[in-house]
Amino acid sequence: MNAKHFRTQRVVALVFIVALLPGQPVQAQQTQSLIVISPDEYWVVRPSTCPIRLYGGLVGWLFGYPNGGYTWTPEWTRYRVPNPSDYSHADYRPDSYDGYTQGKGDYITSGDGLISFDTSARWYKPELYVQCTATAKFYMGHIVSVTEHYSVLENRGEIVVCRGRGTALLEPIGDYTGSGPNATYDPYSNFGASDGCETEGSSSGGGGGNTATCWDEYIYVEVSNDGGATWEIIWEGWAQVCT
Amino acid sequence: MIVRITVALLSVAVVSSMPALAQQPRPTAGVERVPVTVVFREPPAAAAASYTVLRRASQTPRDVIVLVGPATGQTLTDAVRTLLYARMAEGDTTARDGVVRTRQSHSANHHANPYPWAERVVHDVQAAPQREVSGVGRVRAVEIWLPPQRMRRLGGN
Repeated sequence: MNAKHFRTQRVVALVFIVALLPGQPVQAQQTQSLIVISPDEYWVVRPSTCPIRLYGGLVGWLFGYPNGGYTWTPEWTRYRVPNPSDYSHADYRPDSYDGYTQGKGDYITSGDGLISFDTSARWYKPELYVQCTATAKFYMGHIVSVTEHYSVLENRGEIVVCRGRGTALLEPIGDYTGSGPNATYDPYSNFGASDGCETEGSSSGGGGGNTATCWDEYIYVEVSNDGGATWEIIWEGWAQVCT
Repeated sequence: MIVRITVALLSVAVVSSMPALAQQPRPTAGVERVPVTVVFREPPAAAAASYTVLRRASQTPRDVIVLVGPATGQTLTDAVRTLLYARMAEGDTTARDGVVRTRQSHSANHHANPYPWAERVVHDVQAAPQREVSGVGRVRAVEIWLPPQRMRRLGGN
């Protein structure tokens, strides 16, 4: 028996063993699969426990989570496991759900959805239904790495388009009815009207009339904690500015 | 018998109202704004118009725009923009005290117009009675409200 034949036999044997493994007790009903790359290399994919939090980097959302043609926050928190005996499937909500009291900004409220990065859409009641798996990579019979994967099986909630806006900042220019001499923004009111987000096709609401001229500027936002002696950049990048 | 009829009628009423509830339009999302106190500091003679944006973690008011000198609507607009950028970067409330400023990498060809209401606010604050503002002193002050930035991330960082 030459070496190559032996390795092939070993892989076949491992396939058989893996197929017989019952899996974790809490995931007994879950299946695991085997992917044979070559006689020397194979992967075992099996369910894994969904983490408490998901970040963009872990799931490949470099600049945010894409959904419905828009990009959203990449930070999500597990808030529910629908089946307590199966932690490989979980529901997630955006991180800092009640963030205002934590100093993070109340960007989600009961009547006010998550806002997209380009501010041109809102996502009401945003939720992700996620399946979590771990892929163990074996080479020459030894495990060489384990990679976790988080697959979004379902995007829940409702995405609505914000008409007449699309600037980087939510600016106080006329309660989102456009800028100019007809702007109606009342700076002394603590409560504004709709931000112009409405379901596509709806004719109600005051979205129209955005005649703003916009351009991009590279901006540094800096903060000083010593009265202006030294400055720390807290953000830099391109931002859209509109007249 | 009367009880049964009443229960039946109530059931019909509830069931018939359910589709209507489902079809109710989503209430127009009002936006609760976030306050900022604009104060006017009496300038020394010949002082140029300028502004300072203060953010505080524990003092109230949390955000303060200090206008100095012959401030205009443009001055206040620039200050408000600076604060909005800071709120986008840090959140509508901050976790640490500091002074905020913005810089542009190059001089822009465009210049954002002042907000239509900014000149009025500048006049109001210059005419407002003096009052004590925590951490700033006894100054003329008004409170205005700005749209929440909600921890939206600026792209590209």
